[in-house]
Amino acid sequence: MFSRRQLLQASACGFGALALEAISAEQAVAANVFDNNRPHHQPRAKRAIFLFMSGGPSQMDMFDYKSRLKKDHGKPLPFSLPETEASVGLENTRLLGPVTSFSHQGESGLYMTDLMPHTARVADELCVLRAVETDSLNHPLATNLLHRGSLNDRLPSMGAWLSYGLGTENEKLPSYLTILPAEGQANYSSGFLPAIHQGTPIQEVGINPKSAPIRHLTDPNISLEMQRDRIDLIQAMNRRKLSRLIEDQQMEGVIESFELAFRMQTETPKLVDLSKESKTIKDLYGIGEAPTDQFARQCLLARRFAEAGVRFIQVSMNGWDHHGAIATGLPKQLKISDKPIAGLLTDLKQRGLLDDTLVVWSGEFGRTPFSQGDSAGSEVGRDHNRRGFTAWMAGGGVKAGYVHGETDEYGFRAVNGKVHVHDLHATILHLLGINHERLTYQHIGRNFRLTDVHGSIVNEILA
Amino acid sequence: MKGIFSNKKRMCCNDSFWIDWSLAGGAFAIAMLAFSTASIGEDQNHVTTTDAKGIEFFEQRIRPVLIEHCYKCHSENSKEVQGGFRLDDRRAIRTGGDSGPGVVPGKVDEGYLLETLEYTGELYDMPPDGKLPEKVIADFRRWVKMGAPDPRKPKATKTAKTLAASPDDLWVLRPLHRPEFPVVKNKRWIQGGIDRFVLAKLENLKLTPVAPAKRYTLLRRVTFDLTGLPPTANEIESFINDPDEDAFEKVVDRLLASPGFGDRWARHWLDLTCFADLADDQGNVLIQGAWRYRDYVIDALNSDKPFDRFIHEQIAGDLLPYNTVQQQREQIIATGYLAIGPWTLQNYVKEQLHADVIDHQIDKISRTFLGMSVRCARCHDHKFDPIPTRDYYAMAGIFHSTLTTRFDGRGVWSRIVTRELPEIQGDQALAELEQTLTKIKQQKKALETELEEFFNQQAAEKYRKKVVSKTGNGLTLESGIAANQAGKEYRVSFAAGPSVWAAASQATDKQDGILIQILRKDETVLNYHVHQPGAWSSKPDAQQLSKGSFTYTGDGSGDVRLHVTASHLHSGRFGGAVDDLKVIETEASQAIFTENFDEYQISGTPGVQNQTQLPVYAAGSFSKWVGSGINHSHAVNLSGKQDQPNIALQIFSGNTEKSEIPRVAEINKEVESLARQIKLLEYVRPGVSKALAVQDIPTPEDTSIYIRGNFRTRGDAVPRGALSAVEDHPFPEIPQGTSGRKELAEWLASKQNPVTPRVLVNRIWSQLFGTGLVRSVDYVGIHGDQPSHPELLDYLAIRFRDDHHWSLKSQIRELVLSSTYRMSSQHHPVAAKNDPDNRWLWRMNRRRLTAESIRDGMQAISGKLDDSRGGPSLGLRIPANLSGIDDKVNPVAYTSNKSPDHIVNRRSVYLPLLRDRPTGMLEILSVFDFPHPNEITGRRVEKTVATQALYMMNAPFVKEQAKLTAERLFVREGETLAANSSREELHLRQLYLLLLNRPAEDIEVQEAIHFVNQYEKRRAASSNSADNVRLEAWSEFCQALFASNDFLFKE
Repeated sequence: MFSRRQLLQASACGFGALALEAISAEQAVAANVFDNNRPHHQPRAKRAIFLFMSGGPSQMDMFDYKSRLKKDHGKPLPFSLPETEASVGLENTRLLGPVTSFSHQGESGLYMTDLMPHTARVADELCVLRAVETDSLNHPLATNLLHRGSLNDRLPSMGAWLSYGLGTENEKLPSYLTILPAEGQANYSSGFLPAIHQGTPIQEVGINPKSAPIRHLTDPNISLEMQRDRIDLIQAMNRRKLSRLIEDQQMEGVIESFELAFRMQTETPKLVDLSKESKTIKDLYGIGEAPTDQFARQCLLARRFAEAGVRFIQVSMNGWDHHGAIATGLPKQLKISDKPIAGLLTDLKQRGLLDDTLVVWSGEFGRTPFSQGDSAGSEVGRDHNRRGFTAWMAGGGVKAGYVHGETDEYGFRAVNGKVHVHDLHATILHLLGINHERLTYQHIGRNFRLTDVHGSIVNEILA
Repeated sequence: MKGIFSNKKRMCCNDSFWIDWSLAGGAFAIAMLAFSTASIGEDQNHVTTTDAKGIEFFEQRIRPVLIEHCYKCHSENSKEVQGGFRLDDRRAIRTGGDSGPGVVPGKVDEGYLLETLEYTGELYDMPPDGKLPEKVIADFRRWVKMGAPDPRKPKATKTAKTLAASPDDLWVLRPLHRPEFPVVKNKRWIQGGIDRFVLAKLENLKLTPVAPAKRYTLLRRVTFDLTGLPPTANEIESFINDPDEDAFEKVVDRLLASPGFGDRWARHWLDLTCFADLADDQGNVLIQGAWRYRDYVIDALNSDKPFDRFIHEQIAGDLLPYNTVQQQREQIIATGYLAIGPWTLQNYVKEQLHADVIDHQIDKISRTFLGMSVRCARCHDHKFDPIPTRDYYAMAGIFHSTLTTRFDGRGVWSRIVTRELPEIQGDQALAELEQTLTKIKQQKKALETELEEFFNQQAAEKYRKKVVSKTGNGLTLESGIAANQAGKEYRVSFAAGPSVWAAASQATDKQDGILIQILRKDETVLNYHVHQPGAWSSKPDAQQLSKGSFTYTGDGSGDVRLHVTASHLHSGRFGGAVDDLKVIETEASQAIFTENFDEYQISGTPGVQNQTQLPVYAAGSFSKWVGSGINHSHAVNLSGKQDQPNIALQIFSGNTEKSEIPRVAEINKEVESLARQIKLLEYVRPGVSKALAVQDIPTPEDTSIYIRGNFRTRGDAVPRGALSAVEDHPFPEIPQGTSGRKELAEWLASKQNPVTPRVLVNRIWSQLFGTGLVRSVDYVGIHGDQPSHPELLDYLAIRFRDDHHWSLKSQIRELVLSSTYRMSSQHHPVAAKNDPDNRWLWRMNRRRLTAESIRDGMQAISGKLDDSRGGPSLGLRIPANLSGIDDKVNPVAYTSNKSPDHIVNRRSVYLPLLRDRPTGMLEILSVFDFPHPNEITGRRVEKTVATQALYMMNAPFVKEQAKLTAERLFVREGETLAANSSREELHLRQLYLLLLNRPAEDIEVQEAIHFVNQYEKRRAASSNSADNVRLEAWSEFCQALFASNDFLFKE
């Protein structure tokens, strides 16, 4: 054990240098740890749109073509599977070649699936990361890691960190919005950060302008004028109380919050009303046509929010978990996602927004180059793969028409240019002007950050 | 080679102090991470290090690689030595870092440098940006094999293996002594010991306490603080008019004795325990009986169970002696404290799951009772608190010896351990369930009998009249058989059983039947028979056939043909499987016709029955038979062998209509619903007598240190215990064969432990005053807050432990009766300037109501609050809530969260709490900062966001309560309320008393009347007219009051 003398010595030399102000009330401390709303360095992007592909898109069938895999299709695995991760349905597993055809696209010649013809047209905007890694094969754990930098802990999510770090550009709107978040997983939590940084879910992307996109946004029973009367009454009562109290920051805060609420109430419905968009724009995204309509609305909303100054916008899409029948399931999924995503990139670009908007596309992990399911028939799918998968970025500050990293000849493991999810986070923060090691928040006596003790900026992809 | 593991990169907790330290130039900080195992002797390999050729090899092939790829993070000059592993001198590269020896000279299978370079190691793949070329790795192997010659001299290391802080530095560890009362001037202000400490400090700073709060204010404050509810109009009247000097004491005693006390204070405790009604971290896995623990806590607080006892029971209740069965039950239930938590039950790496569960248990206990984050020491000695890794594993040993979750080998899910509760006489819950079950079964039986009779008497007539297969699928013999002599009896025998197509969802249910008709030449029916083979069971032998038969008497009208189809009367979708069909002349016992269905022409691809694995075929054909309808000839191969088939006909009618007869459809529907309820109750029944509770494992023992928190790399075993830094307080000896939980409880609540009472009284203070004397209530370590009034804190700790004998109620009573508590929250310019945060307690803090108080309070005011208490909250008897009862692999999920009617208006603590921030009818809790149930929360944050304003203005819940409140106040039977009447004003004044617990001021009355008049005017102008606009206006007004700070805050 340690002697008392040792203990004393250590503390004497260790803590003299740390200015230990009474660190307690967390909000009070936040300001000391991080100077809010001021980037650490010149940002390359002012906002980010995160396209979350929930379930784990199949990289070998979309962005990471492997000729060896195609050649060896149907053969037994040339490598052994890690015993601790054996999943179900792998008893008869065989190598499974790409289920889609590939071509070179754009001037950059990005080799990608033919089933994304619209994305192909914006291929030169993409910065494709082909060697992304994560730490779990479990959906919830990997999803948590991708959103919050931790497998198990309920830490603040990426958007909350950005909101905390950079604040908002538009006082009428929350700084972090998440459009149709995946059900049951509150990946937009602010964790221990103040609630104002929590993602506000947009629950509704329908055509009906009356349906509330944000919970309890309006009172359908009375006119706006009457709602204003009610707020005026509340504000009169609160102001009278405040004048008696002489000063009370929290009371002032409540009064302000009612004004903000009223502004949101009047402004947000206009913002989410897509009916005023031109037909050209709607067509660009695929609104009003099957099967793209809903996802297209999500993407168009993302553009509108970006334009309005929302700091972090997440768009979630389910359905990538192709354990079975990937040969038929994946093409359907691509059909839904291709046009809206290409539409979003095109639209951002034509409005000059792509220069300072970072778009990130990723699943929580990728898929295996070998089959899952009974036989080699058309019913087979692919299992989860955390050792090497593809994500891409576009826009503010990343190299356009660029590919970084590679997986082994089967597409199973990242071998070069590895980018761990922590690195992805570090890079996203960097592009938005934040040093990921300095964006910290003190909680239970410790400084936390999005990247844990990990994360390196992927310098190779910076434009 | 061992496998590659999922947690390669998450060896360490996230702690940005690393960076701060390096910036601060603290030299020691980095090295103290090292917790290395035995180092490799320097001398034994001395010879090889001087070998010239070896040195040359090192200089040419090894050193340049080390410099280029490793030194940045693993040398003396690194900003921070990663993993505590330096590779820049001979000793360091051999000694290795946190994960063990780096290089063992001559041994390529030992030391982790090689496997790390080869990207096959357990912990790391290095260099991180890509594997080195094979040739380089081969060089390293060769180098190690030749004895790792290395001329680099060991550098003076800074491996101060010391802890960051000493117990002396940390006030909370110092022994607890009863402080002297300080001298104060204003003796009249003093109600008790507390006030002396507070006033002395204020006088010292030349500040004065503000005036006492008015009675209205004080009553509202103390009622909310003690019970979480507002005072009623009667309670207000009686206190205001009570002339007694001890009027306030009477109020406090009344509140402490009311059941609402437990409801409110239990919630604080549940915040600290991560309580929820569901089990797993991310999903909706059902657990039964979490409510028992919740009720235990409420009862314990209401009965003022001494807190040291409360600690003992929750940590080791199952190991404590007991006098009654009731007590034994209680103590088992109490360990729900440890059993219920945010577990990742689907984690298929079970050792990781266990380690994580244990980690959480340690975290819960250390933060709740000790105000320390022992958890940091899971991977390394605590960076700033005096908690070495050994302490963590000393505690971990106790919980390793305790069973919390169990994995039975199916699927990936573990489950929380439950314990059968000893029976008590008149266990009403179980008896009630049994009764209900019996009743439902009887109901079902009666309905089935009714159905049976119905068919026998009426509906079956249908079969007598005509062939019914024309609409569905049926088989008819192609040519007639001579089995129709007038007056002769014939017996039709067959084997039959339930049938299923590939999946069990397409299977015979109980009421499905096989219809066999004997047709005359003219297709009229000579006789018929319906046989119900029973429901498909999904068991492996489910395709078992059994014999059946019926007889008919011939009428001499010529040869007959058999017609086989599914009975349409019940459901008619599946009939069953038929084989070995015979027609026998009874008298002669002679078979006239036999059919074994083995002459079957297969067409199409065979399928497989999921459970039996028997081959099944669709749409083939049987020789001798003519089919009608589509899919008339399904078959199953009972032998399972392709070469020796034993085919049975599977009758599938394709009729998905349940029945055309309304009463039959009705009965079927009811029977189905009853069957679902029976299934549900039978699922629920075993849980009725069980509690979620931990138990000791058969052979409890110490555990090893997990190096860097990784369960795959084990270090030394550590004797079980707790914090070593608490002076003069050794851990009690753990008897052989027990986990040590009992001793842990003893240690926590012992007189020698100064930390527990300090941390607990600080929590109580914080609950009553809004902030603690130490503001960081969950963390009192080196980086925590310092107590504002250290003597007061010690005084309270001693009072709580020694004078109040751990009685929470007595402690609270002392606190709220102090002048300190009774101050108003009014402003004072001088004090506000000198002490804007009110650290010195010159006034009461203004606080927002808690989330539950806002909800429960609104319901109490609207008259909607139901004061019944206790029992399950999940609504397990609502079929829609549970899914997957039949799933053998995955746990049952709690899916839709429909609450039983009898609990929806209860206080929040009795409503279902899922493992997420509350939604649905409890959404309001989330809006007002109710903590996430996965977080240990000692002090809730109090945030102000626009979402709250939106909620109060627009949410249906608020509107509903406002409407009920308006009706309660402004509607009287037989009275028509005239606008602007004196009676209306009277009601308004009552409303103020009820809702804000104080009289209305005149200006407020005018404002209210103006508002409702204005509302009426606006309503008249709009097209929407309502019946009672005046009441609607008052409802709007009530809503505004609810949304106002006057309601939401307590002064």
